[in-house]
Amino acid sequence: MTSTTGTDEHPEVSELSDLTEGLLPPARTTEVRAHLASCALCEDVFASLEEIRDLLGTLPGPVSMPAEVAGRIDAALAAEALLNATPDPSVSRETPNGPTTASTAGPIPEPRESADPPGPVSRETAADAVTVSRETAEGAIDVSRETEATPPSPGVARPAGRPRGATGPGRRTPGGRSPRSRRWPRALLGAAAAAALIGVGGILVQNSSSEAGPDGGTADRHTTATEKGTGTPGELSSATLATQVHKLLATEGAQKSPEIGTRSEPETPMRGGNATVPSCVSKGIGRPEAPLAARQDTYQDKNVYLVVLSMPADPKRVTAYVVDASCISATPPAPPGNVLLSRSYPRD
Amino acid sequence: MRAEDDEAATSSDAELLALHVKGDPDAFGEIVRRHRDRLWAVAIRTLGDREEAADAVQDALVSAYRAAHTFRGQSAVTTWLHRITVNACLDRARKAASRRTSPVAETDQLDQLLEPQESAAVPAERQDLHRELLGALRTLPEEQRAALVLVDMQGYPVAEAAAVLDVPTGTVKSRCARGRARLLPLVRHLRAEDGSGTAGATRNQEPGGSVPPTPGPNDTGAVKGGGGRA
Repeated sequence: MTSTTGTDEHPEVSELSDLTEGLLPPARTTEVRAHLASCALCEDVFASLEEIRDLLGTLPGPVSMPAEVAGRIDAALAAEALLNATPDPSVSRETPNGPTTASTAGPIPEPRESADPPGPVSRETAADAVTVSRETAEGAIDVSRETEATPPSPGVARPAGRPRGATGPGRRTPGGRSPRSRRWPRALLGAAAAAALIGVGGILVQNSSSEAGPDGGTADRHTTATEKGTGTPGELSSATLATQVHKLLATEGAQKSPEIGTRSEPETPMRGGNATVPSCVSKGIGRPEAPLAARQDTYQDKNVYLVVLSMPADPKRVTAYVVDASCISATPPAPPGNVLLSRSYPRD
Repeated sequence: MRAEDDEAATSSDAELLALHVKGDPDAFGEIVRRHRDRLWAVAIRTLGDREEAADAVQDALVSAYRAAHTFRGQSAVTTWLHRITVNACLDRARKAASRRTSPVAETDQLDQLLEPQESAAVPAERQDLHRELLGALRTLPEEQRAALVLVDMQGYPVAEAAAVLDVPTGTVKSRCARGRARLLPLVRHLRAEDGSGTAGATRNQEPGGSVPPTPGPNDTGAVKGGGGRA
């Protein structure tokens, strides 16, 4: 880097930098130091390197995690806690044999020896732990959040019994959102209650937890049913929604069209269902066709309609909407019902 | 979640992690509260993007939550958390790098990293320097950047950074040294107030330009521009 001086006696900038760190061999160290003593130019470069170090150390920077980030992380961990607490978690419906092979995160061996944080530590690093964190990064880290909109593949590094959450927070409609689009507006993040409702709020409700943050971080793009129908019977939560949906479909199917809800009849969905819902509810959903199934329920202490429609893009899947039923009693003309939650699930 | 805070507050990180593994519902939260600010600082400085950093820290903490039983106490909990976080950041940085067409950040993007916002008390040229430095930092290879973030910016001891990065201390020193060397020309040209030939790959495209004389005490002569050590 000192080539502009035209003298090949000048040490490279990298050597000067290495000198600061004591990385040069002893003989070379002596040479470079001698050169520095007599070369103002290199002395200046050397000083500038020191200055860069000082500058980096004095850059203003974040002193604390923003509350909204802390909140969404708390929510993600709360969701994680609930998933862990589920005693009889089901296996993904789409990958009945897959997840059983996955294990949690894989070991994350910590680096060998260390002093208490963040005190000075003096030691060499373990060489035997080299692989771990990559493993972590590739495995566990990737699973916790949706990063793409593609359907899940079997064998994703997800422990058995750790059902994926429902569709991601902030998603009002199923289907692809690019990773970029997860940059929710701050306002949305700030609206903790609203966002939490979409994310893990429902899960939290079932546990009477109030720790929900603004974001359901662990929510994933695909949903599996949590067999454990926790929560008050008849009360919806995002965690139990899949189960409720399938029960509802099974009921409807048994009564009206036995094929519905079976994978052997993927052609059926486009036929309209027999259920009826108030017009303001269907307006809220914005899809005119008759639902496959519907019933009244409660969600987050609200009277709601749970409405199941086929998913036009994928006959094997259905979309469940939880629509605020308050529009029914609203003074006419009834505004469209507010869709509180929508998720898609495999039909069976 | 608050019931056991008193107890939690007096426990060590390792004790808390053990409690968490045993099923204590509050222990991990306390660990997070203790360390999240520093993890955040590392993440946002490594990634240079708020959303990416938030995702990385969240991924890391969820991962740590799940993998807590694998922690064997051979390092400090904080080191372990930092390691997981830095790895999450590096993964994201690599992915982001493959997406990004230009590594040069927008000014407002850099500004958001300079929070708390620099006050008017900081001279404008100094703020320019800060932005320039942050922008230059983004052009470094991730591993050099991570080393500089940990050691130079956050002030972690080299050995601690080595444990976090899972490399020998010499590697950390080397990455820091190479990183600083790469930052040199990008930063020096800002200080080249007199357009004379300075050492290195200094770009003198702003002779006598917007950068005033450096405030440093040692204006060491004609051959060097901006030799002052601010």
